[in-house]
Amino acid sequence: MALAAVPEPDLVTTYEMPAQVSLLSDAWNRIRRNRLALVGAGIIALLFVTAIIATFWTPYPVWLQAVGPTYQGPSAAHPLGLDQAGRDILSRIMGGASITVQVGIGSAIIVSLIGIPLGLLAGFYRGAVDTTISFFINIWYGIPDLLVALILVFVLSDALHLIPRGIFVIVLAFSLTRWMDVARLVRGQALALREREFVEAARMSGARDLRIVASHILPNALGPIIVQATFAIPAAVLFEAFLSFLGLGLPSPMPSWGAMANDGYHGLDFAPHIALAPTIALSITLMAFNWLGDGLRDAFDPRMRR
Amino acid sequence: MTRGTVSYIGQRLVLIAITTVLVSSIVFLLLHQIPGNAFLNETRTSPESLRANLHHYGLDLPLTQQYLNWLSGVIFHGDLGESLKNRGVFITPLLIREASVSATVGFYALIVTIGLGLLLGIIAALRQNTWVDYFASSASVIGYSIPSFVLAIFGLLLAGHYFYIWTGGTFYYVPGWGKLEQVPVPALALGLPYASYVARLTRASMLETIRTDYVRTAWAKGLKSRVVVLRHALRNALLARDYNIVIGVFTFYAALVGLANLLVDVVYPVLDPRIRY
Repeated sequence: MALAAVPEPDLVTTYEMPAQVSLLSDAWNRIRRNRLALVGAGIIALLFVTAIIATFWTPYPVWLQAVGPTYQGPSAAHPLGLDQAGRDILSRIMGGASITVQVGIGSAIIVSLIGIPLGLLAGFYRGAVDTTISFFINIWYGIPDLLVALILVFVLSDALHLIPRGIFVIVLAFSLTRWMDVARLVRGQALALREREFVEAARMSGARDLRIVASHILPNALGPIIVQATFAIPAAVLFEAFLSFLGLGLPSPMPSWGAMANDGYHGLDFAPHIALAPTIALSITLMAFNWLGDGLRDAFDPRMRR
Repeated sequence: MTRGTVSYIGQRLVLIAITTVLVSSIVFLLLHQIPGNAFLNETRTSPESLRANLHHYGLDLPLTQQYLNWLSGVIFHGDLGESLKNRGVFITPLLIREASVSATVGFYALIVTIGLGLLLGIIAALRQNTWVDYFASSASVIGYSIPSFVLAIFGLLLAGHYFYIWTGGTFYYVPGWGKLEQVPVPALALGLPYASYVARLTRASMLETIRTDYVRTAWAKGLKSRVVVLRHALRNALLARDYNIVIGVFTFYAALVGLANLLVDVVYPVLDPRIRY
């Protein structure tokens, strides 16, 4: 009986590499299945578009008083009504969106600029460097941030000779009191990543510390950093609104949503629309960032990987 | 209390003390960076009376000496100093009076936080992926996103204005402080955002715990659901990882809030000249 021809086994087996996906496209694939996060992203997109439009055009100038009767409720000419000085509230909400975006994004950037290097230093070098930085992180957590930031707002605007209490001063005061979350997170990431094989391999092939940190540790910690930075945005927005509500933030007539809420507070019983518009805008914005942050956290979490 | 607990509390106290000293020195230094002095706004001051004023408050001394004097006054006499605007008004008794108001609101807010937060968290976990869970979970994200001052504004509008109209004047709420019936609005406004946060933590922790063997055993041996949920699941859900955090957070915040209120009251007249005591 003739043996059936046994096919010669391929000596060269072609091994198919799994499709490589970048961190961002991988995260995108997962976040687009999360409806709340998408709604949040949509609201944030709308906020950005509004902010950009408001820098060029608003229906009325945000500071222009007496464009109509004071305290007038919503009408066709003024969809959100007029405030106690007869200013168009829709225009001021749009201007407020621009302030909100600047405060939020600016704070996220500066918090990261302070927190990432400190966290990397502490986590990568450990020892005395880590002890010193961690000590400051712990001490800083004990400082009542709102209060110190409040003093910083005054001292900084004086020291930097800026317009009293401008947006940059608010951003700086926030960042100087809230950099610890990012620093602590990055430190933890660096501590864990520096023990991994690819870092060891890089070190064996003679890479310098700076190169190891910049091209091996930092990129691998990027997901959690983005999540943390996203959560810094609503915190900063709330911080600015709260200071302005107290009359200690951005000066009049800047259309901060917090200051507008305070305007409305005084006419609450007969013209609630003045307070409603900015507080609803503020709450929806904070909610959108929290939804997106939650979604990003799930998307970047390696335990959720398929 | 075990030795470990005592030394832990000791360490925390030392840390709080360091923080307090650090904060006070930072504030002290920062405030003195602002040009001018506390008496600059007063009209009709002769150079002599200005000098007398500065001397009375020790403001003519070197900065480090001023700080050390202030610090030793705080440590040895509990004396936080004298009001710059109103001579003879001392800050310590003023603070104690104001702090008691903060503590009262804080206490009721804490009841709201823990009571409502635990309740929502437990119910959401027990009815996971039902509409009850979705409702409680979305309510907690929404509650977490609405700032306290917004809740306060509309709480006042609702309680002080609309309830009066809707009930034809039988219900009325006078915003203010001093009576027990005025407590709910500030306590809810302060407590709701934190309650949402506690609810999210509790839900996540409960979900882990109710799947454990000892909780299943408790159900199996026919214990009442109240006993299972409260004694077996909840206690361990809180213990599992959050017990220390909860204690830590609250002790920490207790000290913080005390500290913050104290500083607010010291700093207020400096920041806002309209406020005087």
